[in-house]
Amino acid sequence: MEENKHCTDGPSCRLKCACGATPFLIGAIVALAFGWWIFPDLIFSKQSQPFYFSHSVHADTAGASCVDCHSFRDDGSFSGLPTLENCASCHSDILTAEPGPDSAKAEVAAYEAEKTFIEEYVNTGREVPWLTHQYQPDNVFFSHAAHFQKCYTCHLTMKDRDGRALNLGAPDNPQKLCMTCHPSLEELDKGIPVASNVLTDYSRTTMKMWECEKCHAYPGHFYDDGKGRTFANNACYTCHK
Amino acid sequence: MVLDRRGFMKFIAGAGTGILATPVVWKFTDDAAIWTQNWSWIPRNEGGENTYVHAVSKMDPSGTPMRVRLVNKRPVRVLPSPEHPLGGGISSLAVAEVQMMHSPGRVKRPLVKGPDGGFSEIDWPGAAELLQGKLEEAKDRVAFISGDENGSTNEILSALAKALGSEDVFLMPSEGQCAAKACELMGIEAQLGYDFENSDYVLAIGANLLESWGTVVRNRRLLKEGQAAPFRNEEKGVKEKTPVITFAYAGPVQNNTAAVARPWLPIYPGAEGILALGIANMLMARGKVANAGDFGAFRTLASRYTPEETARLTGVDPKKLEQVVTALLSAKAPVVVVGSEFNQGSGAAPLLAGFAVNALLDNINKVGGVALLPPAVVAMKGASSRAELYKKDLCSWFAGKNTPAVLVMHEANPVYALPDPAAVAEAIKAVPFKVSFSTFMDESAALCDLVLPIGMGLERIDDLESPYGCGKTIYCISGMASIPQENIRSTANTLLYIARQMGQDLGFELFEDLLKAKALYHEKCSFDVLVAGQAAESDALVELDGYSLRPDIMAKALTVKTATDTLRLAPFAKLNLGTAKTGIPPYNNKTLRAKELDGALMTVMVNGATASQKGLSDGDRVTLDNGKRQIPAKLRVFEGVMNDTVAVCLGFGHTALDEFSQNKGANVMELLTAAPEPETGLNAWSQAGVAVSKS
Repeated sequence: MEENKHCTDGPSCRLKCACGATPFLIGAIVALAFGWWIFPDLIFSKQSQPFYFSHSVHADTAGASCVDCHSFRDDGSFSGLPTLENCASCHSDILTAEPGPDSAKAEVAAYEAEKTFIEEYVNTGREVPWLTHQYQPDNVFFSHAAHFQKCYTCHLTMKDRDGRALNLGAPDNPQKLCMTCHPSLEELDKGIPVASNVLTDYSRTTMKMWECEKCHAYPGHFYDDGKGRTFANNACYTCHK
Repeated sequence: MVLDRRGFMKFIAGAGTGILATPVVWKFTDDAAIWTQNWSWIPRNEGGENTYVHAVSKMDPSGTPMRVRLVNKRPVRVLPSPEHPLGGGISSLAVAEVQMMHSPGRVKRPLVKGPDGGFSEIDWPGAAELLQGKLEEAKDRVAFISGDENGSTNEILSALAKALGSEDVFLMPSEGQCAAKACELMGIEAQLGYDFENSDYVLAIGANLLESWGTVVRNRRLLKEGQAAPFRNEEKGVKEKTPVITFAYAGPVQNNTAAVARPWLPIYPGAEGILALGIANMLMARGKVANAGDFGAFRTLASRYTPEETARLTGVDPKKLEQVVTALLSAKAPVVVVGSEFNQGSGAAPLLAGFAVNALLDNINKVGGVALLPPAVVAMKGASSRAELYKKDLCSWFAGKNTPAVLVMHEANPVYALPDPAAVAEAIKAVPFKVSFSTFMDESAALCDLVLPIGMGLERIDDLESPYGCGKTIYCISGMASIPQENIRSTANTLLYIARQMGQDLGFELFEDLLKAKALYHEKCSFDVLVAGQAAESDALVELDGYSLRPDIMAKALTVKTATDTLRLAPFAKLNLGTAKTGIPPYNNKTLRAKELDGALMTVMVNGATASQKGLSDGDRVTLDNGKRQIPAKLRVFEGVMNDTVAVCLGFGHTALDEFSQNKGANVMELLTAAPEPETGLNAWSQAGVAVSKS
């Protein structure tokens, strides 16, 4: 065969031609690099919020609690993002001190963000087109109220059989339960871009069924609480109405 | 290094192997699957500003108050209205209002029937002109049928009829009509109300309180609060239990009311009046008297119904009956409600017997008892009051072979809802020109020459005044919660316009003006306040001054037919199956259980003893035959049915409306025949016999 003839000329010939495992290895390395480093960036589009927003500033400096902005409506449904009216109840004018030449970068960013908010939204009455990092598609019914009440209340105090705290929402960090699905406050404060799948339009952090089943199919959640209730129902109709 | 063909193939093989160790393939597969579920034409939820408005369900006969959630002014959800005197919960019919706005069964535009029997579109001016012409030709040979007994549109119907020289304005038969007739016979000019809020013991005889009788949502709320009270106290560590309402029920089927009643007294269908007389006799034996002119005659009549005789005629367990009578006597504020398992057809005589029991309990116009409410107000000159409309019996009118030149139906579906629907359909077909103002293309609308679409309750302004059963006078106005989804207009405004074109001045240009005038009758509540969701309430009562119990009528009208080779038919209602007007709401199809409907075959129920006696067994395909009509069904053996009785659920057997209502079982009304109730002028159809045989 022709290929065999090439390789009968000795070791140097083997280096010159593409014999051996080298091309295979190169191909595998290129694919791995593409698959693990390039592909994730390609499949998700990246968008930025209309202006910078810091959860830490609102929580730590202004003393706002989560429900001040992310509240439950009268009918128990979750309001999600605050409305312009909600924000403007505090930000009717610029509250941040105007930065000087020596001001830190963060202070300048906060001032610029609030200025943008007042000028472009409060003064015009236009709702802020916030982008959502995490939302569930229409075919899934997700109740924040049910998760907040049922998961949060138990996970604050309960321990597993080995005595370890099931501290999804530990008393010192009540947002931890929220962070099970949503990006952490630290990540949000860094201004991470909102990533959407270019094929499906789902957000990067949209939970798939297997992720829901981490809790819903967790055997410990099927135990009867003595009142005929289970802690997490895994029947289809629980999420798909 | 030279990359030859072999080397390239190796590179590709390596890349292929490598890619399998990355998320690319799996992610693409997953995303492609999701992508195929999200085609552009699949509707998406739309976000937006959330607001709430108050409304009253016009689909639900009990007038359930609702709080409607709007997103971007689009109704998306119906919620309970906890502050409303008729609210505190939501019914399976009211909760479907938003979805039903988009029902495929809706009439989307005015339709006129052509010579070929098919419908074609007509514009509103053309439709109004056509109807006006027909009314002018017909003059006094016009008849109106209304399926909304609690709304003020009836004032316009009756005023227009009167202006044309006709007295033929009818309401669809209801429990309220039977009660009104009973009041008329007793010489009481009032609407019967029941103060459940302050009662501690409610005995419902036949009245299906939680499904079809009166103010269903209010009844459910009071039951819930009454039953939950001791448990709440227990949780709080309170030793003394607050007073609770006990609901007791007597009826032939363990329906949803019977299921929560303490106790449930199984009786034969149609035996409600006899049971009330039996209870009256036991109360009189314990010294109870009534302050009626003919009490002596009543005592004589009721004394015939000893506990043994009552048990023989009604099938009631004497021990349980004694238990109930003792409970009535020991309660602080007991009240007895007599009615029908399916909100119609009982006649007036059982209501007379029920009133007599309440009179013996001395609870008329007392806290927690029977309330004699002032008649509903009339604001339009020449219009008939609700009490006047109740006096006219629709079944008698159809039986009298009356054929008007024009028949106008407003939210009424007599072809489905009246006994012997085939005969009613023939009578309506004989009318030269018939019109239906209807939201849905129901069985009656399908027979009409002109079908005019009206809005759902959420799409129109309308009112509700003291639905039958409420314990005080209540008036509410429902504002428009949504922009109309279809090319609709209201019955009221269309008829007001036609009346003006005919030169008839009914006193109001628009329906809203009439409602504003009605609002003035209610103190403390302006029109705007009422539209915002507040109900006008009044505790005013009609003084009980000289009345008769009418034992003469009871003696002739209260009989129990004994079964021979047939079984007693016990129709019962379930609110989730909708009404004659709505059919089965699409979402409520999910609430139909396999033991209620097997494919297209509905289930009828008998108990084990009856099944054995008739040689039937669970799962048999059977035919119910009243000698005139037959309906097919599947038999279910259920011990929650009285002996010698076959229980059949209403709400099946629609031939019109949409795919969610059609081809589901048969209409039990086909097995019922209206017969004149002696001395009352009403028709009754609560006692029917059917042969049940294997098919």
